[in-house]
Amino acid sequence: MDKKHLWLKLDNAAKIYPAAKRRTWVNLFRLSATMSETVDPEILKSALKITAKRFPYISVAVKRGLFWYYLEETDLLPEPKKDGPYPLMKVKFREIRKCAFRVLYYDNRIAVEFFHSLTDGNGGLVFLKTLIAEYILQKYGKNIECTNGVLSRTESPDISEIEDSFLKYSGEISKSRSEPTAFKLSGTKEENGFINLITGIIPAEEILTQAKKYGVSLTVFLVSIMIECIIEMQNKKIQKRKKQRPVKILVPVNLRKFFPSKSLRNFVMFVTPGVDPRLGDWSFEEILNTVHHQMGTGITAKEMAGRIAANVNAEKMLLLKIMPLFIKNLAMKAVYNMVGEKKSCLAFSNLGVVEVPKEMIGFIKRFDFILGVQATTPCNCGVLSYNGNLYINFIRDIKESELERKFFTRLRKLGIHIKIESNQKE
Amino acid sequence: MPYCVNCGVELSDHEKNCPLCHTPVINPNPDKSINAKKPYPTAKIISAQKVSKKSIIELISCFFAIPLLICVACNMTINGKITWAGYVIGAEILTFVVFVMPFIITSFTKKIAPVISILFDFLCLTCFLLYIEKNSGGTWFSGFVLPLLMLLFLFILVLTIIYIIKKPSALAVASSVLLFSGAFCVAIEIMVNINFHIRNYLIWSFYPLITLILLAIILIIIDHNDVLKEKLEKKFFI
Repeated sequence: MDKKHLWLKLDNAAKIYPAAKRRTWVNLFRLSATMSETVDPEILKSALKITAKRFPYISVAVKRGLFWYYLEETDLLPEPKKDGPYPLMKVKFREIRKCAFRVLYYDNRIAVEFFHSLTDGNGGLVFLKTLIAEYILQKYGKNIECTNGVLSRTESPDISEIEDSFLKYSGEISKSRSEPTAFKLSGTKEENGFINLITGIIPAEEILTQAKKYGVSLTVFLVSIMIECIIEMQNKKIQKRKKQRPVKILVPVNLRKFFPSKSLRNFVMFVTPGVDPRLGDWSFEEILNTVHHQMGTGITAKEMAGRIAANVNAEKMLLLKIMPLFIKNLAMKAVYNMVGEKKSCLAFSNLGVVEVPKEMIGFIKRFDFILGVQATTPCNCGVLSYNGNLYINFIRDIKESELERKFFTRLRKLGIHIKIESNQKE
Repeated sequence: MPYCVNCGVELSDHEKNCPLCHTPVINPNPDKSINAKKPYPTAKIISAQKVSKKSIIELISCFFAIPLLICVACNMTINGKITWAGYVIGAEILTFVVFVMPFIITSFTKKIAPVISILFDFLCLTCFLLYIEKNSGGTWFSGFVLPLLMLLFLFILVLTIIYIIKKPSALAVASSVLLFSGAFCVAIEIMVNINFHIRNYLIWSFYPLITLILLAIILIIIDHNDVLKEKLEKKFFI
């Protein structure tokens, strides 16, 4: 008898991604772990097979219904592949319709690249950690305790893991979503779709000391530096102050911290702290201050519930619901093109401190979180810290590394030690 | 443990230039960097292999030859001479000239290839139609078809030359095509009246003429208003 395949409606945040896709772009993100020894692809394959069964909501294919896309559990698990010259290589949507994530390895590193409709960074991290726990079990025979985001592969998935928490925790009143358009980063496109990655490795302690000195969190501190750098870039590009645009950074917020959700699907909202350079010159302290307070007022359970409500209510509109998918795609894509990426200069996604069961620490040297470039935004930035180091991954599909240089040299000027690693072409 | 002399950041052992500012790395202790592993495999600059145009043209030409030779063979064995196969040959040659010739011409000259192709098309189509008339005993070629054909190709030729030299916008091209189509309808009706003595005045050709002129005006208006153009582009893109 055939096994009944799990199928799921896309969650509220996931709905936009299949519609927003382009011929050359699909919204992906990547999580990777660098092991202490070279990865064995055969063991990885068998570990993936077992892990995927535990995550029937991640080992899925994106399918088309008449009115909406949906996720369907797939048996066509991706074969672990060797990494290419750059992360998040272009994937055809046809592939997403077979399986919406892929597993890659290179040298000591195991990476999983997810289509964003499946899950967010936090859900992805649980998947990766569980995959690695299974890999360690199979390779070294060491059983890893199922804590700190490692799930037991023998248990069946809990219903709470697949809930669309947006629907559950949506507020009653929707907050307005209108925002001014932000300054747009730009540059010369790389040939053949090459993607540049620059990783800055920073001792977490050093940067936390600096942030504490100003009395702000690490995210506020780094976002403020980023804003300062982009203001400089805009000043160079657009001299007339009146013609400048606000400089804003999209900061994803893990909603699981505010609502008691156990969902491993998308459950993130975002805030876009920033400054308007048209109002005058901003000192670093002023930027820090406003970013700190914008994030303070923006990131609260009530505010988030209102923001969720705006998205959920839009989804509940009958007119939108009964539109056939291809028309809906046109409409959603138009909205995405007009609004989606225009409200911020780039994303700065901080997954925070990655914790693993203590037996695992010896096996894993580092973690990386890499956001894909957006359709029209050339840069993006994913951050996490693990074992005392902060890993800042800047990705870009343009040639110029101006933002990265400004950002890291600014930190360097504060006396912070930085190690830079890249995949640059020779 | 190399550092960038310009940015002051520590660099991974494998880096040969600073990823941030592209300053070459000065490494007094280069032994280590030789064995250093890169985080990603080296990017091979892969330029996609392309099938040569020549081989495609050869392939298509062979395909064209199949029905051609079969028809000639049938015609010859059944009727002992070329009768109906003549039309097939003509149509085949015409198709070849219209669709394949441009590629052959572009391999010699790129710039005026469209002009030459159009002249070839005109010549070929004229010959083919003439052949049909002669074989079917009609009297419609020189008085009716030839002038219209000349008018049509003259317009295409002029438009192509203007396009090559001045690169007008797509909307300008579209509006001129609409205007010409309107005028062409009138020309057709005039020629029909003269050749086949239907009536002495024009009736139907005004309807398309008026519609097409108005459509052309709409396009010209849109073409001259950038804001409107962008707005419409945003609304109607696919």
